[in-house]
Amino acid sequence: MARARRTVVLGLLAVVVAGVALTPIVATAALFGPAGDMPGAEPGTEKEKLVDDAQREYERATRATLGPIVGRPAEQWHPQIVEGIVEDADSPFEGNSTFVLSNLWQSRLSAHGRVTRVYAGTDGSRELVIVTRHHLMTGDRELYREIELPRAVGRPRLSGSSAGVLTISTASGPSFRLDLASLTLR
Amino acid sequence: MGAGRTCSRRNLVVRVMAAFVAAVVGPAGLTPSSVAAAPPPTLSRYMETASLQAHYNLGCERSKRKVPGPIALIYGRPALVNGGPGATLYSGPDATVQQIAAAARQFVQGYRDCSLSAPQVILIIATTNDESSPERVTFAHGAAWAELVDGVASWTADRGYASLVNVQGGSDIEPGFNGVADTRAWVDGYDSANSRLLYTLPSADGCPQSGDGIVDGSCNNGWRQRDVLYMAWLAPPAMPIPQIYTNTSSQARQWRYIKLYGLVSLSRTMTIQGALSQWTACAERGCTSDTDNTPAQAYDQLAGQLNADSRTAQPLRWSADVSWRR
Repeated sequence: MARARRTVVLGLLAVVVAGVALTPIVATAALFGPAGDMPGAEPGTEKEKLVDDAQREYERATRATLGPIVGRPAEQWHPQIVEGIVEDADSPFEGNSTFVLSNLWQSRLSAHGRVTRVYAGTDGSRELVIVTRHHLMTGDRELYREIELPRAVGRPRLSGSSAGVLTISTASGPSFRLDLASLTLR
Repeated sequence: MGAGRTCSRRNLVVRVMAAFVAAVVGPAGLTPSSVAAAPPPTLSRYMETASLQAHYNLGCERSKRKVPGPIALIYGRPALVNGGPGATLYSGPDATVQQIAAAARQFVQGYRDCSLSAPQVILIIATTNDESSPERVTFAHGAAWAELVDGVASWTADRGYASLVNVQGGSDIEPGFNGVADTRAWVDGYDSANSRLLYTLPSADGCPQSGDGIVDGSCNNGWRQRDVLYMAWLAPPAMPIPQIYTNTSSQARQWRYIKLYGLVSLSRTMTIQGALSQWTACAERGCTSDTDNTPAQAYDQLAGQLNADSRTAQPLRWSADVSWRR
């Protein structure tokens, strides 16, 4: 009788201990992501659906992988990147951006898979060059700089490159020189 | 002796189980007096520019803060720019929704680029219901704003950044800014085209600071509590982070009774997401002296009011402040 009672008591204790141990894990799991960050949507509502959508999107992003990688990148991939000015290039932004590209200059591909690009163009009344550096394999961008030209110089265009300095001509006449190492305009 | 040991062991089991039940049930069984300390505040921003560089830098700066939660970028009043939808910005030139979308994408990129260990933030791309000139706060503008937000959200997800930045829409909705009809048209327009929530950063100008939840109390400019509740919660995508600026707790009380009205009269349970203060903005440019709650004061006032009544009691998730310059 006493042994049976002790078994029951120990069993209850085991349930309690397991519950205490698991509760923080369950609670923590529910806290990560939009479901925890956007609480309280009433069940069955559009709000609840929108929160669920955001949670799924979050989970997809946290689970994303690169997929199978076969061999070293250098063996699998040989992008043809030629240093120089490119006249017929795509804007760095999506089609609905207000940035209007004149032309661009790009570096050769570095040993680390990076390429630097300098875009010349206008954005509304602003004349500017935009400098980016991309890791081509991953699509990651490591640098983004907007460098504005003086007001009302007119549409800029890259017209020359030599020893790490780009020449920028403008529609109104003056030209500028962009030092690529320091990203300074002269 | 044996019976006594059994009894004490049983008492121990009961005590352990009681402690376990208290630990598990505690958060759900929130009592009116149990108000958590304010979390670290996030910093939202009144936007005076659509510069891509400025947005990139802002995203970069926010990622280094490492504070999770809502960050609203508020672009001013709805506007027509070259015949298309846009916003006025604050003291900057008007910007189209395309310019704002491009800028917001740069915020995301900056947030992504500048820290590998930044927590997830809720990026709220917001306008207001303030009428810059007639026929700007419209159904069509609301729909255009939803498309702008969806575009930025898709861009963010396509690049794998959704675990860092949760993009949602927003609006600073105030009764003093505009009438009910135009504001509701804008909100319904947003709801007609959205796949994202609409975080409202609302005030409840002139709404009652007491009540039984039965009477639909009147607020300023012809609004009633039900109208404020609609923009904040009843509208399908709406999520509220109300303005709790006043040092007197008057705004916190207004939201307590708006929530009570929803519960008693409409059987709807609004969950307020957090409290918005303007302490940083006041320090930068000044404001009416009794509207400069610190983030912690705003949070404590709102949490205190909501949890003073078991019917309106709830945990408050976020503390948010807003800035002009930072």
